[in-house]
Amino acid sequence: MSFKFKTIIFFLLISLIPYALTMLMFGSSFRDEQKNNVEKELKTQLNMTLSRINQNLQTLQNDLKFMAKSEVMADIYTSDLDRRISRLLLNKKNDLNIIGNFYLVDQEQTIIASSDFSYISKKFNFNSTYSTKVLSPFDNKPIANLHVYYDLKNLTKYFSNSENRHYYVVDKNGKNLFQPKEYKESILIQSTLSSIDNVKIVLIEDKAHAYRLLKKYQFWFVVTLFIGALFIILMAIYFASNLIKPLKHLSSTANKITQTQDYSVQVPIERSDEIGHLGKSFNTMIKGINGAMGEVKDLNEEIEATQREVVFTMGAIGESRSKETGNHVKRVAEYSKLLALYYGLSEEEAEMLKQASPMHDIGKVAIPDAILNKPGKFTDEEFEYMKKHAKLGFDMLNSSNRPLLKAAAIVAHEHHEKYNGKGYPRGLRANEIHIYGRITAVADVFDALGSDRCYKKAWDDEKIFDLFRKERGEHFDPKLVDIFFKHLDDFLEIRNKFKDLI
Amino acid sequence: MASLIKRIIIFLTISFELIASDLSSYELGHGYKFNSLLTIGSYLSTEYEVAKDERSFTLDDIALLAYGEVMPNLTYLAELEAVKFYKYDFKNGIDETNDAFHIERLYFNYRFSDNLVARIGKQITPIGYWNLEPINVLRDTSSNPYYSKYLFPKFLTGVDFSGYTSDSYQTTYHLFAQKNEDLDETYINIPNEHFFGASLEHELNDEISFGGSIGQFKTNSQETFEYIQLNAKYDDTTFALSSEFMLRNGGLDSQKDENTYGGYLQALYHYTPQHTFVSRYEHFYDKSVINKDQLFLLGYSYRPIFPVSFKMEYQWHELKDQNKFLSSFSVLF
Amino acid sequence: MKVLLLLLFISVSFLQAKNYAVIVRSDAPFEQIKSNDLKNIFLLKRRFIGDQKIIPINLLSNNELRVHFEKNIIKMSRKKLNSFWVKQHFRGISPPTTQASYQSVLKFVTNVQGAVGYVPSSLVNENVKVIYEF
Repeated sequence: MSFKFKTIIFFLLISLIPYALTMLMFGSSFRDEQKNNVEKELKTQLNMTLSRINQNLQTLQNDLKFMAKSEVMADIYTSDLDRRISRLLLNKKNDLNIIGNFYLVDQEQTIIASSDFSYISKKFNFNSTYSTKVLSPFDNKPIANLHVYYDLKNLTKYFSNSENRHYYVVDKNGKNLFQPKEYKESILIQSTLSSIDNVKIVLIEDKAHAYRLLKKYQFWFVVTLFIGALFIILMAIYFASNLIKPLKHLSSTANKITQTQDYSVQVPIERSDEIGHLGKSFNTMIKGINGAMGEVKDLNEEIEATQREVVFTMGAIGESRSKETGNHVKRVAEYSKLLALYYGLSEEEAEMLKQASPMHDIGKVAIPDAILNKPGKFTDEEFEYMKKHAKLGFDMLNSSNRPLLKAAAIVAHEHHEKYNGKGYPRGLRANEIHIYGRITAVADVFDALGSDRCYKKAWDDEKIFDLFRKERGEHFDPKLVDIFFKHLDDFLEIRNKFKDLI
Repeated sequence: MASLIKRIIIFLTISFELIASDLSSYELGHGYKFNSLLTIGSYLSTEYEVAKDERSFTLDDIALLAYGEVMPNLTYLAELEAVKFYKYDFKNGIDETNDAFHIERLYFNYRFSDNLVARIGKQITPIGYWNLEPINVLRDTSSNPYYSKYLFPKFLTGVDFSGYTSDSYQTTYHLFAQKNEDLDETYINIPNEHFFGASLEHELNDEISFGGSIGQFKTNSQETFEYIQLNAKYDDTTFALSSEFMLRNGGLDSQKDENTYGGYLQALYHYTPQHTFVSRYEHFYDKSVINKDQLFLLGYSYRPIFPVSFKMEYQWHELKDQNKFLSSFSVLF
Repeated sequence: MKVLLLLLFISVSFLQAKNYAVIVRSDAPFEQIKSNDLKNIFLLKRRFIGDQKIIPINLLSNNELRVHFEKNIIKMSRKKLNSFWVKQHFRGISPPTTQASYQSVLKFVTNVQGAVGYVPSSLVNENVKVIYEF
């Protein structure tokens, strides 16, 4: 798991959790408050309506009491023959615009007067909403009762009902009156009407409508919550990235340095904080390494040069006994490198061959002068002895583990092998012979034929070319012969460059 | 007082709702009867006076009246009045207002029988004719005679027993006593702390009546006065002749042999029930303040209906610079 | 001659036929009453007959019988009566209560002891008694 990812996760944990908790707490308390507000508003509305109703009912009661004291009540003594009381009651009913009636009832429960004339002289045996005593103007004793029946339907004119919210009445039997419709889900507030016993007024609202604002808020709350969370996440990522960037930079630079081995690279310093200091320290370290590497490289080069010189000198020493000129070794080395390159070997391999090649005849040091420098032809015994120099040279060189000496060992061992397998010492054929050996064979023979020897004179070029053509695939690797002829000029140039000085 | 007015106005406004439903039964001058417990009324009067040193317009009286029967035989009356509610002085171009309402009358009346009625509280002093009708709309002229203004207290705060003396219902007596200060002295002509009196009034027939009274009172300034008073009237609906006279002695600087007295003789002619002509002669001599005058006035009044009255009069005084012209308009609701 | 006088008397009595009656409840503690007392009662000067509190009942002001009553019993013109009651209003006295019809006067008088009203004689029933006729 990457550090950036870990940082992001950590950052998210420490910020999202309290954030979410806070938002949820806040949201839930807000929601509760909104719900309370809805309820409170309903309560307020209900109370307002109730107070209006109560006020009007109070007025009704006051009017009733006032009428009971009115002068016209003396007409009780005439049983309201002239209907003066009834007309007053009717006027009052019309003035108040109520559904219901007034009744003036005597001590025998007979209706003397009423705002509804059809009730006059009937028995009063039903319930009334309010009643008050009527006293005689002469002796202040009660002579009748004035009643008013206030139909509950009157209450509906105080109800401002709408589609989503309405009032209704619960009468003393618990029955719901005047309810226009039912809601699937609703919230309601109810209160008893103080002016009429056992009557309740209920204000009911469709729940969905009541909480519509809340729903809207909820939606936006959730949206905000998510936006907030998203913001936190983005910030986390941004911060983590910002935190990681210089470190990544640092590590990628280190990687690049390792890959390219280029220790001169410096990390750009963009900050002055601890990360910046890390970068600066890194830069200082790299610079130090760079310096050290430079020194090592120099040392290395010197060692390599020394090594080359030693090898070459050793080769030259080996050749010095056989009265070959020093330049022969050089020429052969150059021919070998060129052939190796054209053959397709890498520069390093070609160069190694060039440095190893001079020691191809080192085995000759173990050959006695008498045989080595014999001017005439060798006897078979002498030739067998000569052939040993390949194996001898190999034995001398192979004991080292140095790649260069190992290469030289191969060259020494196989430079006399022939492509057709008729070479020596092992009679390897074609590609059994190491390419180093095949190349050295070509290079060595070409130079030997073109140079004067103690036992012969230098051949003409044409003769050399004929031989090569003849020996293509026999003595020599055909591919190498082709390369040779293809790049003949290069070889001749080398021969010219390193010509023997007599 | 101002808050009292406010309350009264509120009461009237609230009552209006009930009155309005029954306005047809209301008659001007009869008040509005809610029930036996409460009847309300009101009156106002305005006066315009031109004299040698004065020319003014006054909104003279505004009053509210309430009375009714609390229990069988027990009645009450309350009257609140603001005097000189507004006066505009043309000579000086200044106006003054006085919106203080005071208690003019406040009493309970208990009728034991036709022969004995007790009245307790602040009430009109039952002396003569003129004093019994103190408000502009009820009297015959805008001005009051000296006799009733200066000689005796117009109001008493105490108890008065009255009634018919016999089954003939022709003779009425009053016996009154006050042994305390007046209730609301603000506009009493003679505030007093002690007032006793007795009177008798006899109605000979529908036209003729006469009576008299005696009494004693002590003013707030500790002057004691005793009086004797006589009155007589003839009224046959078209023509009325009335006279009152009081003789009074007492006071701090008075000499026993020189008394204060005052009186008037008034003749009134109803040309029609609406148009009336009146003339009055007054004589007045108050020793205690060395104030004496004689005057003769001629007046005219127009009453489209009885409770609405337009009056005009001109007074000629013994002291020439006292001559004045008065006119007034008043209404009783 | 006697017959003529008798006829005259009868005709005169017919001319002065007593069409109206002043009534009280049949068990009222008083009997006949004088015209002057009636006047005092309806002017609210007299409130008692004996120990009985009297409650005079008028008909409505536009009623012919009332006008007749005022002219003959109270002996005051409507205008004079009006000024009288205005003065009484100032004194804190309201005029007598009214009833709207003869039947209601009858009923009222029947139900209230001390009530005195006047109706056409033909309407007199056994619940009331006549204390004056005019």
